[in-house]
Amino acid sequence: MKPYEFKEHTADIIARAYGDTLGEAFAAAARAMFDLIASGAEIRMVEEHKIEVESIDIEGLLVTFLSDLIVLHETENMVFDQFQVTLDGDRKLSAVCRGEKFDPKRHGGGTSVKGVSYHLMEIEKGDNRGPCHVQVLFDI
Amino acid sequence: MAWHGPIKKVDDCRFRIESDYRSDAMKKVDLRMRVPGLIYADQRMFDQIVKDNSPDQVANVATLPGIVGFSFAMPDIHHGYGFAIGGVAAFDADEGIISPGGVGYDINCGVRLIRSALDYDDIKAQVKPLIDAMFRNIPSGVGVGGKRKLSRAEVDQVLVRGAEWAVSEGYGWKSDLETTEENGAIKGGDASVVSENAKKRGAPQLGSLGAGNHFLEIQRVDEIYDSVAAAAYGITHVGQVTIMIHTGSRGCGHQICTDYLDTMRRANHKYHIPLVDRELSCAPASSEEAQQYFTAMKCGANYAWANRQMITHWVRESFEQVLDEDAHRLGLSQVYDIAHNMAKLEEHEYEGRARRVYVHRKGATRAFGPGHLAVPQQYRSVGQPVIIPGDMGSASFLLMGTAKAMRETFGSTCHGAGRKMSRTAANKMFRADQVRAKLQEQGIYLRAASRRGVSEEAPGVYKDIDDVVEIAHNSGIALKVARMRPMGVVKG
Repeated sequence: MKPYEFKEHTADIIARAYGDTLGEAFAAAARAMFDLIASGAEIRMVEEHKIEVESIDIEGLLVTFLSDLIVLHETENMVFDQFQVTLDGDRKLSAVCRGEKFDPKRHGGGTSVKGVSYHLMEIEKGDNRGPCHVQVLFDI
Repeated sequence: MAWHGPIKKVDDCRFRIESDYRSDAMKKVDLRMRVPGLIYADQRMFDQIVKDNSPDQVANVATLPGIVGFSFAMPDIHHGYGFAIGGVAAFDADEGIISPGGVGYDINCGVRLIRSALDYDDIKAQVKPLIDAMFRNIPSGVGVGGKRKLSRAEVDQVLVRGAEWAVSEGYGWKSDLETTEENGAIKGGDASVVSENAKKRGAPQLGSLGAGNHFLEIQRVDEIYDSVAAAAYGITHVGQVTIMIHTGSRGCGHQICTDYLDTMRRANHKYHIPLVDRELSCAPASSEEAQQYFTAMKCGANYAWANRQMITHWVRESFEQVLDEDAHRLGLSQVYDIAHNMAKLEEHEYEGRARRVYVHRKGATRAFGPGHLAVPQQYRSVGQPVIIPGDMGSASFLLMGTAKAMRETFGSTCHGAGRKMSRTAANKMFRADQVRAKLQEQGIYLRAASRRGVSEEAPGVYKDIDDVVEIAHNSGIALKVARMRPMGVVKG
């Protein structure tokens, strides 16, 4: 079972992502985002990118982490499917992201994610799907 | 999450949320509405609007400092984040705020309408090759960039000079600039306040359609409501062929919004502005943070105008290739280009007082009336053209701005049909091949970059554009000029 699911929203799309730790839940949210972008196609582990993020709080950290991945997608033409996320308190995060170059033949036809919204965001201890969960709305 | 708050029906096209309304969120942070909310809708549409609780967002915006008059919602309103989509709010230039959420991620998402000297009968056999040529010549879809990769220095030029940069590089005609809002570049852009990430995202994407609800259409005029105004806009007869371009500032604008939402969240702490919703984050209009965002937003807007300008050029090239005739001889002149995601510093007379206000239009269109100096000279006697794109199976509208909109809504009106069904529900309900076949039955040829885009943008997911426009027309905040039906569509 995928560690994330999508929820209905009139104009955009909401992802709920789960993990044993908050870092895993963040990673699952990132996987959900690339599921949308690459239209659910398989993403191979060919390249590795490291990113470091700072913000003023945990919500800002999640938004900035995902936004920085969109930047990598659009500027380096990357799509990712595996993330090792390490949280250092509420204001610092580092992540190792594995994936490959976007291949229109295999990954094409997906959804363009314009931005990551704070709206309806949840970062909490989880429910029966996992000990931690995050909810994030993608502007598409 | 439906709306259960109190609402007062003002007349057949207006509903009012009184300023004594306090939602749970407002009670929690002890915030009151500073002005009432005003929703443009008829009873039937209102019943649809309350389903997604967007009236609460209208009420939330009314709590922001310096808001003048009303927190407005246009008939195409639907649930956004912070600000509803279809929302208009004017904030006093001295006492008010500026908020990136009131503009949205796609800064200067907008619409351009091109007319022609062609008639439906002239080209009906060539719609398919014309759409195929446009699909080939204009990059669209996810992960597909523009044909011209810009250098960093060129990006900086685009951010300041907008559509004029594109014309100077050979994309389109000088006359296009005269019929573009702000002549295709808002003055005061400064590339130094735009992040490297925004420039990096923008550099490879200029001159591309993107995905989502963006499209190119070949249309034919199927009804003219006001022949005098239509003639002023160069629309002369039923059957006349027009072309519509709907896209925005691509990754460049999205990143500017992302960057400044972060800046504004920090500013919010600094200036102690209490918020009912985090997505309303903002800063005092005169603060450094707000002014920096406003400058960066101008850059995003200018990028979008350059984008639509380059696409216009390739649309003309496509027609030239297929019809083997010069674009000038085909009469492919621009009617107008208008933004529907933007904040602007404007002067308005409101309730007898001259006011300088930052008008935020998020999914709303400027609709300046006759005589306004911002309206191109050739249209000034009738008012500014307002372009309202519909879904790919129905119709789009050309309207004109009115004196009433100037008095009532800071010169603003609706921007489109507005979604009523989520994308996930649309994916379950509509299959791309069925949508395509249905359109084909209606004589509409579709080329799309993705099947998913076709399902998610199926005609049934939007409100009825005729209803939306009828409310704008009946309330007088824009008047109908002409309706155009699609003949062929390119979807991102």
